Amino acid sequence: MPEIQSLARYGQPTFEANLNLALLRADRIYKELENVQGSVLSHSSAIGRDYQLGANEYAAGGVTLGSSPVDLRSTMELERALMYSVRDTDLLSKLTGTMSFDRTRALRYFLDFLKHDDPNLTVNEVVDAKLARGFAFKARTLSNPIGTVIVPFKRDENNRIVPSVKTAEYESALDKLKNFMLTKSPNSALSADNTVVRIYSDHSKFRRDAAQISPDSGVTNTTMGINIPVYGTGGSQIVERPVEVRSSAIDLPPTDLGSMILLSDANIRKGTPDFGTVDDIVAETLIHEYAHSVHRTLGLRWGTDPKSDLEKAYAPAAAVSVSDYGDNAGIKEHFAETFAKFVITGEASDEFKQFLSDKVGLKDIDETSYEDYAPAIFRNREIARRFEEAVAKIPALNNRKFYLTHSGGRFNNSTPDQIAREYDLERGVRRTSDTISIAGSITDENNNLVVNILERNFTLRPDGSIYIYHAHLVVNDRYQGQGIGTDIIETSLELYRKIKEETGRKVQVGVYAHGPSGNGAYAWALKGYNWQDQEDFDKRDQAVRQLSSYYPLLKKYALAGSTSDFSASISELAAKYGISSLQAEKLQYLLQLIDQNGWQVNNELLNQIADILVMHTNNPSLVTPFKLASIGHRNKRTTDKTTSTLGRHIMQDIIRTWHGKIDI
Amino acid sequence: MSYFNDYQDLFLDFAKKNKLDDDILEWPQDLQDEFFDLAQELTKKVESEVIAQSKKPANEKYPEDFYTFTMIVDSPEGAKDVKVDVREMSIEELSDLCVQLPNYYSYYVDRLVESL
Repeated sequence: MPEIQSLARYGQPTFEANLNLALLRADRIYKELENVQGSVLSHSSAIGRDYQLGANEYAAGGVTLGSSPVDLRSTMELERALMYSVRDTDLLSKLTGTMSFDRTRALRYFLDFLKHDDPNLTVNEVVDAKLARGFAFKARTLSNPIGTVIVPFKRDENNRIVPSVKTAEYESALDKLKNFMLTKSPNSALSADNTVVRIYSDHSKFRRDAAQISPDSGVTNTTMGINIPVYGTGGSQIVERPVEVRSSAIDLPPTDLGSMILLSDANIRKGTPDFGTVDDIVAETLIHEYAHSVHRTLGLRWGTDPKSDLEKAYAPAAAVSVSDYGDNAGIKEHFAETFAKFVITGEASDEFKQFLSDKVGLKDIDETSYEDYAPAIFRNREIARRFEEAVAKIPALNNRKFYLTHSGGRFNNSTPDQIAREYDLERGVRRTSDTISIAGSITDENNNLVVNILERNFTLRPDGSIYIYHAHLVVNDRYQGQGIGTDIIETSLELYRKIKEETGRKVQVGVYAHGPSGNGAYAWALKGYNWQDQEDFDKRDQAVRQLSSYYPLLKKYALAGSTSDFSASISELAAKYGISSLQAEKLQYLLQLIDQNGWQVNNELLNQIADILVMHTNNPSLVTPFKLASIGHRNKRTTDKTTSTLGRHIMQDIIRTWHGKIDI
Repeated sequence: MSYFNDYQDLFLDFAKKNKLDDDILEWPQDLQDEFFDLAQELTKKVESEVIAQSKKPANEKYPEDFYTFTMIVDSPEGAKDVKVDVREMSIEELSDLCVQLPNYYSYYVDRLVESL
């Protein structure tokens, strides 16, 4: 185990002393990274308002030392060794004690630390290295064509943490690209959610990553074009282009690699022929590279066989001169140059537009054709009218005049100008390029609030499916208990089913299951929503592992337990049940829950857990949120509805929050 | 229509029939229980269909190197390697290990099921 053995790097006489020192240093660096994360988050201009720090950056409970979190499953040997050592000396408890997160996350962070730490560097140097590597930002909306942008940071002369590249220019370039893709083909599969734009400010780091790239890697779904010549101090060109990239060169999980664009911010020069005829160098470079992802979807024969249909189809467009570079560097570069120029200036030959429309599937879409492919979506007034109609049919609102209006409080931070620009004030509809939000309240004829806030976001995803996010529904206290919420949901589902029928598209409803003390995590499970994405599956798996660790303890308790156990110490429990002190600690925790909530720990409960464990091994998709939430529903002594069950404990305390979906 | 759609219909029909809001945690306990029974019935029906369609070979074996690994043990003479075999672990020890090592989880479940 190189990482464990490399503990000797810390220069102490014994293994334990080295581990101790490493833990102390890990803790100190963790706290520094947490501060840095605060600064990065508060820097609103990092990559613009449509982006947020990527989930990977939080994976260890704070920022990670590496550029991607350590995958515990891929570092089994290291983990085993560490777990054993830590179990032996209880050092992990120290680490967990100094950090406010659980063992697994502490372990993950510590492994990440051991993997990346260089003891020869000072704490500040380690943190600065992380700043220079950059932070991953993900697009907020689900269907943004550009998935992740990695932005490096640095300390300025006043020791403030600031982005070290010209992020505003990249943001503007991404916007140009995004708008182009959405107007040409909102449902285009070309909108690569997984595209990663990695921006370098550090010349040598850019050079190092680029040097690892092999033209023969055979990786076809990963484009890295380096369109920017990188010059050494003597003026010699260092990096040729274009080239392919190995996923390992970028130090990002393969799932993040839809296509990859590396850009060096340090050496972009204006005026070389490579930048074509467009003045906007940043946009030209970025979009040129994205174009390589676009033409890659056309197949592998592109550019390799002059007699292929694709080559023949492109021949008329290729005859039109775009730039010195595009004209001389082959068909792929010609396409990329032409594409970039078209996106930025709107200028392109008819032949190129024809090719883009026929072969790539990017064609002009006008307002009237919107009606053809998504009648209920992306037309503000149409969707608002349909929604109003649907809500007006709600029986509980019978004979009441219905208004969909703004809930003023939501917009406290916006100026009236901003609200007017973003919202159709009459309708309470907000439209961004790919999402329509309907937000408002429902009042009766006397202007009494019936529904305080109702918000639904309709998004057309790049794969053509429609995603409807149920953001808020709060029925006014005075009107609760009349079934209004139920009616609204039922009417909404009816509308969504009609939309599905009319458009022939996949329709998915999503919710964020959260709430005070994890209540929402339990309640949405009872309402029959399913896990939405990988993050939710991971939580499910974690919950089942927790159940599996409860099982033997509950079984022992079912056989030999008594109420005197409720007040027993850990060592007493360990002695009575013949278990380790670690397990006795867990049993003590379970006994508290059993005592507080009056669970009956019997065969019925044990069989329910065993069923789920077996099911999880054989058919994990059957372990739905409801399945977990329903454990032990009948195993409580009291009938008080607020009393927790084992299922409720799992949802509220282990899962806590999740994203739910229903495929309509 | 999928299970989740059917579940939604069941949920909404039940709520409407009993004039309940969609906030299930606010429902009276007897109605919560009644709904639970209906929902579990639906769930079990779907589960039995899925399980029938996807029978897995029983007692799948794991590769030999899955069972053993080396741990580093700290001793008075310094750190040393010790071979460990998970097959010799008790269910409780294995359970402990599985919390941290997901790879052993399936094996643990197999052992657990055997011991039921």
